[in-house]
Amino acid sequence: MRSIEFQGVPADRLQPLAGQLPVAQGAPLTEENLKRSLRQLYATGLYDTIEARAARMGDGVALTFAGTPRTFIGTVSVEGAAGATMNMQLERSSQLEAGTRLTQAGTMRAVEQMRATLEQNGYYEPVIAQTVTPRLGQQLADISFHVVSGPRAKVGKVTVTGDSGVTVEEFRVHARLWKIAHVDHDTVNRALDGVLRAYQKQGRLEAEVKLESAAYDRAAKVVDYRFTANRGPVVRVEVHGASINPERVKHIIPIYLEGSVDEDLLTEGNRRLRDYYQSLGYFDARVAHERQSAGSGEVTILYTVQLGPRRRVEQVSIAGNHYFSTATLMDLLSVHPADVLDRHGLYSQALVSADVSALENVYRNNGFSQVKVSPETSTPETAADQPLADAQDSAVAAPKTTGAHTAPLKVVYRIAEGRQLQVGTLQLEGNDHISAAALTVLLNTTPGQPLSPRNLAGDHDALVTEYLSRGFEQVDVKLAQQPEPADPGKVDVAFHIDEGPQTFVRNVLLTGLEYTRPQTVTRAITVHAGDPLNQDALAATQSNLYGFGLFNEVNIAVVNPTGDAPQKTVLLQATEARRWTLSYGFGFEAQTGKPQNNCSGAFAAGVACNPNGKTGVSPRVLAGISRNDLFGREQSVSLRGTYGLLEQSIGIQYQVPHIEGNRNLGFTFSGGYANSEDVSTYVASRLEGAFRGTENFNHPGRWISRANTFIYEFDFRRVKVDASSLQVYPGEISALSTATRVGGPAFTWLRDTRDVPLDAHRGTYTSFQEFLSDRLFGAQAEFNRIDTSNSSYYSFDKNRFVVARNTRYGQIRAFGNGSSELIPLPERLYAGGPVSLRGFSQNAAGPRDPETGYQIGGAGSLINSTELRLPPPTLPWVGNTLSFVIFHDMGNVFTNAGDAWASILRVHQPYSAACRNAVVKDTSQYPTGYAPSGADPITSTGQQGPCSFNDFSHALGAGLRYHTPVGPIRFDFSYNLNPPIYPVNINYSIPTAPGSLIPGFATRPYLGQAPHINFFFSLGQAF
Amino acid sequence: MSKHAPIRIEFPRGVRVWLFAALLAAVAAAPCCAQANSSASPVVLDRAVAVVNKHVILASDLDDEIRLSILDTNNAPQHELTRQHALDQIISRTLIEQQVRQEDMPAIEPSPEEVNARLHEIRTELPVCARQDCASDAGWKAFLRAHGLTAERVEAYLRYRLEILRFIEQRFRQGIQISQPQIETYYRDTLLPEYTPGETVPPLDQVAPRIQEILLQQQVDLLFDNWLTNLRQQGDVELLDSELAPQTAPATETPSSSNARESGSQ
Repeated sequence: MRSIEFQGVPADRLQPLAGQLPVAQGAPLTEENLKRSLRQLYATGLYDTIEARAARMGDGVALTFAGTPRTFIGTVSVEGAAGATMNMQLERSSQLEAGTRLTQAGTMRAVEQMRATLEQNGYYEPVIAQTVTPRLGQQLADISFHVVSGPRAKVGKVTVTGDSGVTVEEFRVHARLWKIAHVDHDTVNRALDGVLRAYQKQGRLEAEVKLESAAYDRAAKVVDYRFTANRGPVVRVEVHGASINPERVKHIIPIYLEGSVDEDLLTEGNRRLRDYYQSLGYFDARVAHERQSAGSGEVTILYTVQLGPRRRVEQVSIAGNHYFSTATLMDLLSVHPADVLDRHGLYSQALVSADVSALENVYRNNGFSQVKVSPETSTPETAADQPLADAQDSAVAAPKTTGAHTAPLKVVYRIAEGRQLQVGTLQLEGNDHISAAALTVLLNTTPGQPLSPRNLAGDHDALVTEYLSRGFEQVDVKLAQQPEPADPGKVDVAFHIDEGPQTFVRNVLLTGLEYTRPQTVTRAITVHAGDPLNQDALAATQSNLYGFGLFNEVNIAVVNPTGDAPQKTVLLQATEARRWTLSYGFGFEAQTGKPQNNCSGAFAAGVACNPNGKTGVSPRVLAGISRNDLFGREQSVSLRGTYGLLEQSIGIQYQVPHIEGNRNLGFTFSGGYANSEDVSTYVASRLEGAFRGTENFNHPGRWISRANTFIYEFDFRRVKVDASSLQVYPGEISALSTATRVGGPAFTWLRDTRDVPLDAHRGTYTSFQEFLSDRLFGAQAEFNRIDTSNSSYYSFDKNRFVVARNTRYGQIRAFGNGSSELIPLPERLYAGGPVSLRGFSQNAAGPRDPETGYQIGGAGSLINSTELRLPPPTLPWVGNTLSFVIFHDMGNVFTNAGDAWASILRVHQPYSAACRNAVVKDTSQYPTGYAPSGADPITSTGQQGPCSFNDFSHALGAGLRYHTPVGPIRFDFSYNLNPPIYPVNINYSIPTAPGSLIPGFATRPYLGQAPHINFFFSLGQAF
Repeated sequence: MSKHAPIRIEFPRGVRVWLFAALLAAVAAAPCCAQANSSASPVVLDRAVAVVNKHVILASDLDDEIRLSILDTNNAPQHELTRQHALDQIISRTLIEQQVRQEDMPAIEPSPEEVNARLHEIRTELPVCARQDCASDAGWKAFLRAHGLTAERVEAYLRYRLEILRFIEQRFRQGIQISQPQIETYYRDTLLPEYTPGETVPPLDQVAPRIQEILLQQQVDLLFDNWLTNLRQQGDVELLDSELAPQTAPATETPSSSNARESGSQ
């Protein structure tokens, strides 16, 4: 052979095949080599047809492989169809997949399928035009369909045949086939379901309804339907031998749910009834069913229950185990003995079988291939075939026992472990392109270790995955096990690898970027021309592109997926999301001690304020608008507002989640204005701006776990308290209502290892926040605040129970001189409420004003919460979506940070007598109000009265959790064991006492006390 | 493609069953490629004519099939295999072969002794071969040369044929039960009418084993026939040469033009 030439397919696509074809220049031409070469070239998938031509060239032959190049599908788009999602539906129904071969039959089929989809939606006269646009040099063609849907059909005539038992008009009503209704994709299903439901309500569970035809009347633009309906007999279900609520029967016997009767469903009913009675302790219950035709269109399904004795699982034990401890094996069992929560224990034959499988699996996976587990169950003390239980029990009561005593049940799993097999030698064969050392590190199976089928299966998958990640798409790994002749306890393991050809990326074609700049997504694409075709990289690229939040859909397709071409094109097809997003929402919290502000206004309305707030609901409305894909980059700007009784705010935020595409660095600028009313004592307004940088650690080779997040901030805000809202004694109002600038750097460290953040079972969550407000940064209040919190979660009893705990410590150290040393009210530490110290209402813990009794916050806080989250019981109506918790919260907010640790063991309010004495007895001797005595301390949180709040408040409580996909809905009830007392000499919401010079001076000063009882209704776990 | 053409296989005990010509046609060694034209204008040496589940069938495969058809004991010499028929046989054989590889059934490869026994049978019993004295080595070589075959190709063909037959036996024969009433029915309704009045009829006990074998083979044939029909229906068969398409061929995929075009439908 003197020369070899390729025609049809570009030579550069076949270049990698040079040297791999059986025919070669200079070698003799044989028929066999020619055949193999033709087959190999066709198998690349690049040709539609191929032939070999030869021409004489000197003393040899010039060989040419020529053929028609194959065309593959690039993008598929549909436009013009009526309906919001119809274009997308049609695109899917075309079943034209990007990257696959384009054929005329395929496009014709696509049009037919699209037409069928349109007909299902009522469009019987569509016009579908297609345009195929080739991409030069790529063997790709983009297909676009333009659809004109045409008129939408309405429901026309309805004809019903068979023994329907209803008139056509009644049928129409049940089927909801109104004459004016447009036909849509659900019309037929809705009709069938509706009619069947109507029959089911009559107890006709064997009814059959079928659509015979749906004919379109082009002139009238209606669809005429013809149905066959046979109502069948009325089916009744009776349970003999035990009592059961008829409603429960409908839940248990599946014929009601399925709406049909067949032997499989009836037998399933046997099993479910048996399980039901076994859950009540009738472990030997047996159920049989019988079908009885009563004539005149009635059928009775009779379930006969033989309950047997009622028993309780007294003991479950394991015998014969040597390799595993009993405790380890017991954790695998589903059968368990009776306990406080379960009076009968849990036992059934199915559970025993499952336990046997679980035990045998764990042994087999540790090399005991001959293990045998035999369950032994103690025989009942009373005979199993006792007379059936009295069926005349009350309808709702559990079935009565057949004997006076329940017979205890003992279950023993006897284990014959057999010989433990170990891995002898481990060999890898056929790995020509990847070294054995590189593959061995992926394997869990090692010589000398127990022979584990699970490990072997996992190792097989690991090898396949590794090869796939390197472009070996056709890799085949076979496992061989051979007992060692010299040592029957050892098995030699070999993985035979058939690597197949390696495929590389020819090029990457990205489509669908209308607004987004290509540079924005470049770093997210981890597949590049020349790389091995790595399936992991494809998945990572897709995930990265989704991660931008800029795309609704990202499809990745490999062109010529079934061909053996050495290089393949990767198609990345993105569909951009809407750039403008409008969001809105509504929520509320219900609790005791809802903060109560604007007491002067309340006075005008004749409503008295109380330092403990009031019981009520705090609604909240949220609204926002966002612009994503700003300037074609991964950045957004949003404007959001909140309006509620506790807070009103509006803010703007500019966000760059990944700086320059770096997945670990983000940046946010935010600013806004907020009114906060979450503390009863005052209404605060806040004008603020903040720069925030976020650092994650998701990259490989990171120096710290990916569970960590660092946040670097610079905050600047102006806080102001409305003087008219302040509930402090008159002498403090001026200082506390002065507008104050607060600003400085902040650092936050978050560490989150929780398994499920919304409802954790294990892991920890830690946050540490440091904020420095200093004159250097333009601040008027100078202080340093540290706020740290740690939560941990521990599950036990197979994750059924969870113990969760949370500890929070906060401290503020003020510095500076004069007024700059006074910490503004909104910057202080508070506690109390549904996500804090549940012994107090919202932000109601800690120091209080010496005259009004309203909370004024502190400079230190220490709180600990411990919660036992119980497993959800199975309850009527709600199933197992409801669970319970019991909790203990303790802690307080303190005037000084140093007081927190000294107060841990103090359960009584110190100097309570001084507190009581602070209540004014004779108002005439108190004409000017509170005057600080020399003994009352002045701190960074202002003038303190004679009352001390330096004790730990303890609360016990219980709660309900209703579990939803977005986290639990929570109701907590708490009882504070030692609520603090405080004097109330001034109340701005009542008339000033005659003759008094103090506004709001109470006519009857009194000694207040925080309430013992609090409740909270909220979303999510407390921590 | 049209329904496959059945052929008959001769079993050792004389039981004839209908199988498919595709199984019995074999690949014979052909002389090297068609001679290139002495002029500079190129000639087509070979080309793809069909694809069966990614396996390409070449024009030269059809030539092989036709050449090997001489070894088919059921083919009358005067009826030469057409190219359409040859393609049909190859498609069936390819589908079966793919299924054999997929099911990976163990121990179906025949031993050299079995292959030699079959070869001996052909050399001594195949009429067309017997006339050319195939029993002798010289006659056998002359026969092969005359039909464009080689000994290696014939041996490979026989081995492959035995392998397929064994696969069919394993795949379909197991699990078939022939009951006594079925044997009695066949004896009464099929065998007895074959005898003329007065002729000695063998007793049931004597012919029962033979009847059982016949019924068993009929069952195998039926199962195999259905199986192959399903394979053809489910398989992806594409014809690249329209001249080979049978009259009743179902719609098959044909390559589309890569040129831009517009079409509308209503």
